[in-house]
Amino acid sequence: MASPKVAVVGAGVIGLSTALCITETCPSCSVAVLSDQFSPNTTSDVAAGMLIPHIYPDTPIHRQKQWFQETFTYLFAISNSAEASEAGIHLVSGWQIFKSPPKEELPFWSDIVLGFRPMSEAELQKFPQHRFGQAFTTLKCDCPPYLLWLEKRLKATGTQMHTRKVADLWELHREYDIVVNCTGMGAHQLVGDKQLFPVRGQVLKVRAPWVTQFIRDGDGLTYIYPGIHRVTLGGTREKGSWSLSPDAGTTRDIFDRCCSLEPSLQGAQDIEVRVGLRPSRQCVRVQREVLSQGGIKLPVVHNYGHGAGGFSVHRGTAKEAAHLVEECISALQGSSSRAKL
Amino acid sequence: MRVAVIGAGVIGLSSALCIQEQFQSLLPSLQLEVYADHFTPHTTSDGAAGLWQPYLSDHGNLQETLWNKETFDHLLGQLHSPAAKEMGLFLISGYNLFREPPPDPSWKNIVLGFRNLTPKELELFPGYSHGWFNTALMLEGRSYLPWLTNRLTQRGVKFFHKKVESFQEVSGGGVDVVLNCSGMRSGDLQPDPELQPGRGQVIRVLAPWVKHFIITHDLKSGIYNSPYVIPGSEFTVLGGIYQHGNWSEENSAKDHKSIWDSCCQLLPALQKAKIVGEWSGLRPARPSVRLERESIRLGNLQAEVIHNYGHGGFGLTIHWGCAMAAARLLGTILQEKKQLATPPGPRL
Repeated sequence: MASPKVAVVGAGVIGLSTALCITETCPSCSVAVLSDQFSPNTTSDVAAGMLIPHIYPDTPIHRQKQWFQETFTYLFAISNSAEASEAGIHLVSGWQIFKSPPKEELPFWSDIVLGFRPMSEAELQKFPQHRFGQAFTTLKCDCPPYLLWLEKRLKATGTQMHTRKVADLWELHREYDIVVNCTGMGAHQLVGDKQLFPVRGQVLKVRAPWVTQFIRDGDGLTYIYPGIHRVTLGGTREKGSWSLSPDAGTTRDIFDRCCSLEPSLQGAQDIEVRVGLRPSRQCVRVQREVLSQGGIKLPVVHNYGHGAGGFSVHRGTAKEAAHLVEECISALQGSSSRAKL
Repeated sequence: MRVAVIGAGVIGLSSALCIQEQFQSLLPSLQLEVYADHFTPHTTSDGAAGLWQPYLSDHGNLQETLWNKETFDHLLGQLHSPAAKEMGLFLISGYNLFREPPPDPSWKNIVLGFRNLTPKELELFPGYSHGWFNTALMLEGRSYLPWLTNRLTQRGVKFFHKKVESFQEVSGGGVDVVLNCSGMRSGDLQPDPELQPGRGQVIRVLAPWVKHFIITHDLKSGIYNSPYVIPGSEFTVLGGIYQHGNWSEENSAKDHKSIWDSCCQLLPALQKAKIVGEWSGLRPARPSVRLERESIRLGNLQAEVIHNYGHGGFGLTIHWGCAMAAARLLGTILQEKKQLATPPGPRL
């Protein structure tokens, strides 16, 4: 197979980073990204893009740690380079605070982020309702810049982008040899995965350039994440809700909760409300499959179900998916040479 | 009881406010006046980035370390107040970088979360082998000075836009006490060979992705002669110039290049940052802050002067401690003049 044709469906952080990894591991591949939405209208664009891992109950911890490590290392190098501002990658320091003792004193990622340590008494005084805290420095991927930067890198490799709604993976079997399914929440419909469920998140994006530190309540519900131009205030975790419409009462509630942690947010300007559906699953589905219909085979690589942790593990899962694409290519070449015999 | 403050930088305005807060209710006849040739946004305090950070060493001057601490604690206490944003006050974390092991700074227990950098953090800064991380405060002069001015105006303090040429000019007209907060130009009022300019130049850029301050140090060349990057609420300040004895307030092309090249080497992404301004100013440098009383004979009049100048590159850092000390000196003067039974507030 001279130039395998690979279709990546989905143009959020998972789709674009997977496509990029494929161009890196398989330079002879001809890659196309197909999606009904591109930045700034993807789920990724709503997210703050903070590198703080979400725990997947059914994925082995060592695998989650490897994904996070690979992602952190990759982004760390970009943040340190001349491309940092264009890519939207920057370091941010801050605190994760707890009202009651955290389940784990040392989360699995504590040695990957920078300078992880318990907060001092003096630091905790800023949060009178919280009794424990962790201070560390991590990375943030601002969207749209990061997605636009990925798109630019992809176009430079000759990858085509097509705005197109794929209703059935079989639509693609004539034009493409391998399909990579990075459709996030779309996989519920596209491949009928009933283990995939939305966790609705509403956030506010505000102008408050004096907020330089992130603050996250360990319960995961209230957070303040300063980005390049805007601070993301969150949030909600509404399991099973499919609504993409902002809720005014929720907006008020998020604002109040964040102001109680950071009173200066009262002066925030230009409040924008966004909603995203975290494509959640007990484990991220990074898996090969060969679909079969009427004697025709279609190799598919799945890479979806990252829930609240897409940014944190995106590069790690993208690399794994790219390896699976390589395996598909080998399998196709094997079967095609067998066919020639 | 008329008190004239000469100078409307952070030192003059904060001293005036501190005095106003402490004495106005005790002494209804108190009339405060501020005289200055430059007001915000044209003072030295307006040009400074506004990072709270003393010099590395206090050279045994514990008094100054105490004033720094009082200032930090005072500002920390204001952080959650509704005024914080208007004051230009916010928390910021960042890095101090060295090419050789540094001694612990005098302020390590004043700031929050002070610690050494980990090897992985040092990877961010090739060429630097040691460093610190801590959380400190920003107090932006361009917001703080207007906030102080508003508070003072609300309380009936009067402002006069004029260059004061002598203490006599001010004290002669019936002023009882003069506060000399004239910073760099104190020498015009009373010669002081110990007061010298520490010229600085900064480039202002738009680099909103930078969320930490980064101060590098070259222990051999002295303070602020090594690149620094300080993000503010409107722009990021790039600097690294300290020229002792240089009175020029003109921007130098050579210094611009030095700042630009060294800061871009430190943070490569700065190459893409848009330059929005440039400024030069004179740090009113002195071996130690001059904060003391002086009785000056002017003709047949005795004038009481309280000096509060010579804060070098740490005016914002030390201002409140000094303001309170100046207020205490005023209290002593008022007591002597039988204006007060006992001075207010705790004695230090």
